[in-house]
Amino acid sequence: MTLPAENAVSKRTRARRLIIVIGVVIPLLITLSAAFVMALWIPELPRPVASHWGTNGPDGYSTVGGIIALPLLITLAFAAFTAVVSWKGAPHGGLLWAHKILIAAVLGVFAWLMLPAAETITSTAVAAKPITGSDTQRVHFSTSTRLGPGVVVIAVVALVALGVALAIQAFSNPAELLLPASIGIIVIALAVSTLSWRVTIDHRGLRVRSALGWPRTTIAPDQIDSVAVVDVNPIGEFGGYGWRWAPDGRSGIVLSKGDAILVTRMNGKKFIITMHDAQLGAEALATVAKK
Amino acid sequence: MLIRVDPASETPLFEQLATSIRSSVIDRSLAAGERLPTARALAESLGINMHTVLRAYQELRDEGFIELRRGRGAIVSASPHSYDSLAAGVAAVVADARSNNVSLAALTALIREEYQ
Repeated sequence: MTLPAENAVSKRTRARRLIIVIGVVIPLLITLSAAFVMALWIPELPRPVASHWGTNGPDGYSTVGGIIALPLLITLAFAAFTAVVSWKGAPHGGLLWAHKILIAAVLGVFAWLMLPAAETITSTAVAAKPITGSDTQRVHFSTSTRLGPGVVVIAVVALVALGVALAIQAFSNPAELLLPASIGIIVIALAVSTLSWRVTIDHRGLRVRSALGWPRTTIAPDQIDSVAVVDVNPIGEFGGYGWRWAPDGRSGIVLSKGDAILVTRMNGKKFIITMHDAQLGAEALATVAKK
Repeated sequence: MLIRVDPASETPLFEQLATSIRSSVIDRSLAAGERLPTARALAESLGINMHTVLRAYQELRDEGFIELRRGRGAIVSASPHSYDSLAAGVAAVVADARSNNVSLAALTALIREEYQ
C-alpha cells in the first residue's frame, strides 16, 4: 500500500457514491416509473391479473396492487442489499463486492446506451412527388430489402440457443417435445421469412413479398391516399425488427434504420417498408397512385 | 431499380428498357449480384411483350451489364470498374457542348469517331 491513507479513503468514498447511484438510485427510479405507468393502466387491467404463464396458459394470478408492488419490493430489497454492501467498510470484502456490482452496472450502462433516447422519435414524413413524364409513361420499380447483418447475427444466436434448448428437451423429456418443437419451428420459420423481401411497384400498386413467398401483401393504386419518405428507428419506434405494429397505428416491414416508404391508405391506415432506395421507390409509387 | 418506358415515344421499347436498367447499374441502385425480375414478370408489370424484355436483356448481356443464366434468370454482373470518373467527364463534355450550341447528334458523332 503505497497510496496515502487519505487518498485511498476518498477513492473508496467515490466508489461508494457511484455504487449508490448505479445500484440504488437508478434502479429505484426505473421501477418507480414502471409502477407509475402500471398505476395509470389500473382502470384497463382485468381483475385478477394473470401474473404467471405455464404451458396451458396463465397459471398464476395476482391482484392489481400486488403486481405493482412486487417489482417495487424486489428492487427495494436489491437496492438495500447494494447499499449495505457498499457501506461494508472492510477494504477487502467490500471492494470485491463493489467490483462485481460495478461489472453488472457497466453491463447495465451498455444496455442503456444501446436503447435510443426518447426524443429521437420525431421523424417527419416528406411527401414524394410523382416522376415527371408523359401520361403514356409506364413505371416499374423493384428492389430487395433485407435485415442488416448485425440483426441477423443476433437472430442466429437466438435461433441456435432455441435449437440447443429443443435438443436438450428431446434428450431429457422426449414425451413432451411436441409443443415446444412446434412452437420452435414456427418461431424459426417466422424469423427466416423476415430476412429478405422483394418489393415491386407498378400499375398494380405496391407488392411486398417475403423471399419465402409468404407473408406477402399488396396495396392497389386506388387504395393509396399519399406516399412519403420517412426516417425510421426500428427499436425506438417499432420495438424491433420484422413485420411490426407501432403504437401510433403504423404497421409494416421494418428491417433497417434509415429511409422507408410510408403509404397512407384511403382508410387512414399507414403501411411502412424500409429500403435503401426509398426515395426512388416512393416517387414511383406516387406516380402509379396518381393515375 | 426504376424502369420508365413510354409506348408513345419514338425510341423502341427494348431500347428504353435497356437504357433504364443500364443507368440503374451505373448509378448503383442495382447492385452487382442482384437478380432482375424474370422477363415474363417484367413484361406483365409494364404491359409490354415478353420478347421486348428478352431483347433488352440480351442487349445488356452483350454489353456486359448483366449475366443470363438458364434457370437463374438475369443477374447484374460484378463490374470491377466504377463509372464515377467517366460520368464526371461526360458531364463536363456535355456542358461544353451545350455552351457551344453543339447538338446531341453532333456530340455522339464525335464520341463515336473518337471511340473507333
